[in-house]
Amino acid sequence: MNQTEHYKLSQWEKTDRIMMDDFNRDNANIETALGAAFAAVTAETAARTADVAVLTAKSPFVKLREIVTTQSAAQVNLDLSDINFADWQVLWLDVAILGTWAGFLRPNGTTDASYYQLGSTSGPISNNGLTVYYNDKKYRTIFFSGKSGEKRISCITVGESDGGMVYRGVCSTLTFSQQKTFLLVPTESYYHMDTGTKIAIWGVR
Amino acid sequence: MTIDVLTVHQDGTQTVEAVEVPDDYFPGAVQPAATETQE
Repeated sequence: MNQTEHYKLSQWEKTDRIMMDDFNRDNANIETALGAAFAAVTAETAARTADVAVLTAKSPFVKLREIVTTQSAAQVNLDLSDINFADWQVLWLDVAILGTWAGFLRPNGTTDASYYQLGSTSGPISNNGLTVYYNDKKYRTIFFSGKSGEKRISCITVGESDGGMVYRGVCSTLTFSQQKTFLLVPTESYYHMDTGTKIAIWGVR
Repeated sequence: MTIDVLTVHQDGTQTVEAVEVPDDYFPGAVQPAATETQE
């Protein structure tokens, strides 16, 4: 009786007797081979998971939130009270709104804060919020926390406009340590964000 | 009046509730900021 090359499984000729021992030996060989293969895959998976963890720890970029809205709403409130802005040199807030909507990004929902144009020494430009978003455009708002909670909230928003780009640089009277929630407040009562609106927050070490 | 407010919690769960807001809650049409440019 012949055997296969690698796992020594029985290869009967017409003249060979059919013996129970041959089947048992074949099954034992299969069991051993499958066990070794499973152990190898498990070890490789563990090694790759460990490598990913090492690379993730070394990466300066950490995704802190990835949100896709599951319901339509006029306003979206983001609870960020677990994010310490002082842990990060810079934070990115990426926003892509669906629906018919325009509105402000308002820290903590307050209109008591004032917002100044970056680089300007003149009076506040608004008390409505840090920046403005519109539907069907993509924006990135970059917060310059500089690993300090005592700095005033300052940010630049860069995004799409009809046929061009838009940017806004704003500084608030609020500090990063006071920052707990972001509210996306509509400018009109009839505005609604559709399901599928995307919001992501990245921290940069 | 009431508006639907979607809250995204720390754990990622989302809830919607109707919230009463004053009529002057809405800032109105957004005026372009001085730093806005279009090309």
